[in-house]
Amino acid sequence: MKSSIQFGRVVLVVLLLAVPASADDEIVRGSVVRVEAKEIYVSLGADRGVVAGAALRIKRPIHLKHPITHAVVTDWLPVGSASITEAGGEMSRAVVGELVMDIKVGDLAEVLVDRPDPAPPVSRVATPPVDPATAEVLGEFAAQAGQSLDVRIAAWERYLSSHQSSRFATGVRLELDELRALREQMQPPSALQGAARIAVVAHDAPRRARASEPLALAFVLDHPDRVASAYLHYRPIGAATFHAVLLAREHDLYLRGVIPAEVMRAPGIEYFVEVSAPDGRTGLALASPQAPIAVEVAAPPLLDRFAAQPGRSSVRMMVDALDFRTFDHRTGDRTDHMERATIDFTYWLGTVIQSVGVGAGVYAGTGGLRDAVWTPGMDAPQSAFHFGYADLELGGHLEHTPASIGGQLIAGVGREGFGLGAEGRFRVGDRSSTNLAFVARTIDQVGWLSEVRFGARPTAPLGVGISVGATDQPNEGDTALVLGTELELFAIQNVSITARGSWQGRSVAHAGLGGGAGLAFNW
Amino acid sequence: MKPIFLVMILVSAAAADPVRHVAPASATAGAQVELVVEASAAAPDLIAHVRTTGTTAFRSIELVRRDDAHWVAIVPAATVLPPGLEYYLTSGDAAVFASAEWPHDVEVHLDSDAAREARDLSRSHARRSQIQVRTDWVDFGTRTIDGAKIADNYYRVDADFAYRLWAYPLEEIRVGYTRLIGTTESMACSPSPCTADAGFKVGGWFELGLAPVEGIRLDARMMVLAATNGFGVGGRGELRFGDREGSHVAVGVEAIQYVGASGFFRLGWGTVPRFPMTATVEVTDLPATDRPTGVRLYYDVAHEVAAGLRVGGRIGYAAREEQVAGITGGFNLTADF
Repeated sequence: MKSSIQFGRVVLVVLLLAVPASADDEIVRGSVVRVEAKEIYVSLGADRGVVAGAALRIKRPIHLKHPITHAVVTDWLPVGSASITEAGGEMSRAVVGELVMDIKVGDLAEVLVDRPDPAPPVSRVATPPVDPATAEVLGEFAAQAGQSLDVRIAAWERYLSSHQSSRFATGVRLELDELRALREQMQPPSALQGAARIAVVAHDAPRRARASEPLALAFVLDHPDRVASAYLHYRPIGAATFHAVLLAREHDLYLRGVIPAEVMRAPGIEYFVEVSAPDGRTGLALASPQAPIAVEVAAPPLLDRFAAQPGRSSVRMMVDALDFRTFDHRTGDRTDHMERATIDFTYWLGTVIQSVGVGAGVYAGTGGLRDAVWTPGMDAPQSAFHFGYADLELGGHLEHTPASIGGQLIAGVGREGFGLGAEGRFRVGDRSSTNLAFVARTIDQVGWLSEVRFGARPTAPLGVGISVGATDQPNEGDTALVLGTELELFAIQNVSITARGSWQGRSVAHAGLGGGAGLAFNW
Repeated sequence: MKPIFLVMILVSAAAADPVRHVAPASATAGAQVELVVEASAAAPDLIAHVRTTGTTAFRSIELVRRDDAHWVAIVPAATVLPPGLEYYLTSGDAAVFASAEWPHDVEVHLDSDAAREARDLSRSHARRSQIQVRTDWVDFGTRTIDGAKIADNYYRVDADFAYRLWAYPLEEIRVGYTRLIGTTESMACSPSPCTADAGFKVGGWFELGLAPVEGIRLDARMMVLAATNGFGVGGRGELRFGDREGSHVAVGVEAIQYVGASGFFRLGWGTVPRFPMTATVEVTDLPATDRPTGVRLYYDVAHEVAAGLRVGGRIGYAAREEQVAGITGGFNLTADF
């Protein structure tokens, strides 16, 4: 804090010293009071010594924060100059032509008035001693007095690029932010701005680079004096916008920068170099946004894409039982039920191939007909089918909505020996949140099942699933409607438990309840 | 007095002469790198300070004049190693390009095969050899027909040695022995139904691990065996995507004369550190070609108990018909060195 106050004093001293010590002429100051077509009126007239033909300068006052002390400092920007066309008693008129577009009411007007008497001397104030680093910043700040925004920005950028570890760097960056914001207000950037090549750098561009590792780049300025600062603009290939990083200036001649590791990914990156001249002009020095330099970044080998990553695999075990005759109060043995047990292993890839899986299960059931009455000698048909399967799901986006298609190839043994089956499914929405899936499955010796499943995750620990389907399982019998509801509770880290309930019926009279449970591990 | 003044001006001018250096874009491992500098012939001692990225000490190489305007430092091939080459230049005592605190980093690349081999070496911790023993007990269940118990099972032992050549596309060669002995229903015995021994006591095989693309591997095996019926041959093929010891998907077939055939689909995941797991679905008629096709599902988990030493277990079930199923189990031991 003490040093900040001291620097405040120093700034004041510097600003005082920046004022001309003496002059034979006098500058009178007023303001722009009216702007009309190609001419302006200023609040300075013959009463202040203004005459026709006197030199007129227009400035715009600005308030800046000092990069060291953060004290508010009033300064000005040059807007333009002209001469007084006609001087009135208290006001004067000046024809300024196209400059009128840049002038606003309230802008500072200065007119040079010829005075025979010398201006009174300005007393000198002793400058308190400061260290060289501080003196450099103060000198930079003082040199910017009255300069345009572009010149100020270029000067500070140059300072930053060669003093990145300076203790004043943070303050200078804040100052730069304010100046840039002011420039945006006063002159919104146009597409053409900075498109010209105003400097040349020598650079041996790499053709390829490693993924996930920073890429160091060095550029050599052909004419260092023509460049105040430079920016490296880079982006991953395919990205719409470039990121910019201020290049470090070393030994006056070199510009160095690093493209960060996080953007170094396949298929590659692109970059170009933009520079600012000391007069504030900006332009290109190497390549351009339209034709940037491209560096190839190889995709990781397939083997690494299968590298161990947590959260990509799951094991899910489910058992459930469906009874089709719970509510069948008709006489006779109308046994009709089915039990299922499955275990699924799934690996999520998160690419076009969204997942691959393998699993196994057992279907077992008795009955399958809505009106049959089983009697001794005409026993209910029984079935059991042991099966394994391979599962694949491919996905992408439909109009920004996740969508996937998948299927299973099923092989197993049942009452007639070896048999095959298949499942196809189409899902819209993220499978781990809200989604709608259409599933069709057929298994030799068991029957078919088709259903529509709606899944949602209303809260983080709870998933809900509702399904409507039809099936002729377990014995390729009469078709039944199956309405199911499923709740999945993500109770413990990596573990979830599932409870399932269902109603199913092959007719109004022949219907029943079902239920099941599941356990899943997610690694 | 005048000459001294002139010398001072000359020294001052020489010191102010720019030293211009365009950094090389990249370098190739094992090939020397030239660092070329544009500087006047009178430039003070130009030194390149180089080191392999990741090391701490710089090695100084004095630049020598190439012509009136150029100097060059030859970085020896031994220093040009992945991942990169870091350097800075000094003239006299002053840094003129980069600095010791922030040296310039040039990426060093390997050619594609060398890069691939480096990755393989890294993944395998530079262990090129592997010895593996696998045992497997498969029981399809015992049926009782007319009071007779009809067993249907076999055990299998595979022992092999593998050497990773990484001479792409040939990644690995493997040689091994297999013993497969079973008891299953047979049409050749009496009174029917009855069981008989099946399988073979010893078979030898040779396998090539081919990977034209890194991560896609075809294991092709040729087998000879002495079975009950005499000399026989067999073969096995496995197409695999991913890392056999980690996450992968594989599909394969195996056929052994007189013994049977099997096809499988396997999913492996290495998402739990140091506990690689797999789940496999298999259809098979082993241990005899005249047996009906059955299905197996088994789950494998392994654990690295010491560097390069892994033990694993298997559990699963097998069924050849709807009413009867049995247990599959086994263990394996793998040593990499």
